[in-house]
Amino acid sequence: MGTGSETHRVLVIDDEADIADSLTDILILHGYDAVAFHDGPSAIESARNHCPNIVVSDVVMPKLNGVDTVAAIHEFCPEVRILLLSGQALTTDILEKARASGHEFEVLPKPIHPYLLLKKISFLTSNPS
Amino acid sequence: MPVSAPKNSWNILAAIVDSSDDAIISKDLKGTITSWNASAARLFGYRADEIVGQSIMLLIPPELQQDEVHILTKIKAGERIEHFQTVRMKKNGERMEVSLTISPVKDERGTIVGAAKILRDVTKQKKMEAIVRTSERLASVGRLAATVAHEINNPLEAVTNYVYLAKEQPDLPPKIKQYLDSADAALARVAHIAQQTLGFYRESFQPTKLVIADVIEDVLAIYERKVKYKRLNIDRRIDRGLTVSGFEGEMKQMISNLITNAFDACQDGGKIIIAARATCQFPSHQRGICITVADNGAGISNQDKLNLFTPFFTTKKSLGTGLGLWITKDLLEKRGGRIRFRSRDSSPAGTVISLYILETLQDSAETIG
Repeated sequence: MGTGSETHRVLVIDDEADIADSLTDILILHGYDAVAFHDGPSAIESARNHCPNIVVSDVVMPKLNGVDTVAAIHEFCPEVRILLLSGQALTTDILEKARASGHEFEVLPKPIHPYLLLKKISFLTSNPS
Repeated sequence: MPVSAPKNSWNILAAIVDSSDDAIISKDLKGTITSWNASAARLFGYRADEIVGQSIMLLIPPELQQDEVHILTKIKAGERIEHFQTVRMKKNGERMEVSLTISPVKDERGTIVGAAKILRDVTKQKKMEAIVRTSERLASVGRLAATVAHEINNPLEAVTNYVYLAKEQPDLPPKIKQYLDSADAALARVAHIAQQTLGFYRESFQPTKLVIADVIEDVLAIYERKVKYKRLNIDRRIDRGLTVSGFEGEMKQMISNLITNAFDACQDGGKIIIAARATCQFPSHQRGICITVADNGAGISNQDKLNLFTPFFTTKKSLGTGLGLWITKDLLEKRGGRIRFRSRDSSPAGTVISLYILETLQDSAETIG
């Protein structure tokens, strides 16, 4: 969990406010410095000021999709670890495009139980890239 | 031989009839077989010398024998019956679906003396038609699933999170905690069914190295409460250090299908063994692993065994989607693996089902044993 000597910053991005906010609360409860965003551009803006350790993002979002968002953050925060969450099959096309431009991301299916998500995040923080 | 063939062309006609792919049979108006070509022998299994002179009823299943009366009535009236789809019986009792064309045969004076039947085995064609119908049905279900998936999975994620948050609140009254636990378990069930029905997800395009023991434990963690409620006894016999190359989501989906089937089959207090070991039992002797889930539950009846891997077949009534094992088999075979099961529904009842998974992922169905 995030309660080690160092607090890990996590950006949670989902256009469904219920998901972004509840996930953020769960992460804060487990000792992470988590912040919720409801669109890609505002998350990129925040990352520019303060590189997160981890980004948890939805894939299909209206303004900027999750793959383009995390790719942008990755540009100036190369150490960032990324987890994508998706509730639909449409994701495949977006991922294929990302892969063609050299990005390989792990996508977890929604709904993911917080127990498993916390486990994933804890694994990522204890195995930095 | 066709009874009304002119004598000068007899040999030619006989050769044509004999080399036809269709069974060509003639009978008299009493239904006695008068000629029988080579294809008839091949399709039905009777030689000409054992069937000519016998009743046509030998070829007709008991429940359809009434049909012959109608056929003969029409023939006597000089009518022809075209492409009549029915069932006929082989010498060994096996039934085949056939398409029949029956024409009256007349003698030199124009009197109807019998009938000539051309019969084609359409069993394979019928099977193909059924497969096409099923795949059309599946495609429309797939489109529906993709549309519904997003609408269901997002709110499901939010509610799961809220229930989790509520449960994490300090000093919860025990009754509230119990309600939330039940809500969480119910949500896990919805999530599982939604994922089985709506998601053939793949989280990455590159297979990763999966530690089998970890994958199994992750799946078991999802059903922790179910195990507790049903007081199931889980015996893990998992060789440590087993790995395969694959997709985590798919692997979890396959294992989860097996495990939930075992859970549902078991009575309260039932026993389930989950084993994983290395194996080379593949046609190519490549290395791989075998994951076995055995339960002492109700077992599978012989009738149900036939439909075990058929889409939409379920014995779980409203709880099942009938897609779990079908998807599992499909995922496995796409990777060159296979699925095997043994089951008894009488004492001692139980089911053992094994997944054989190649260590190195293969994107071909050609290697299935």
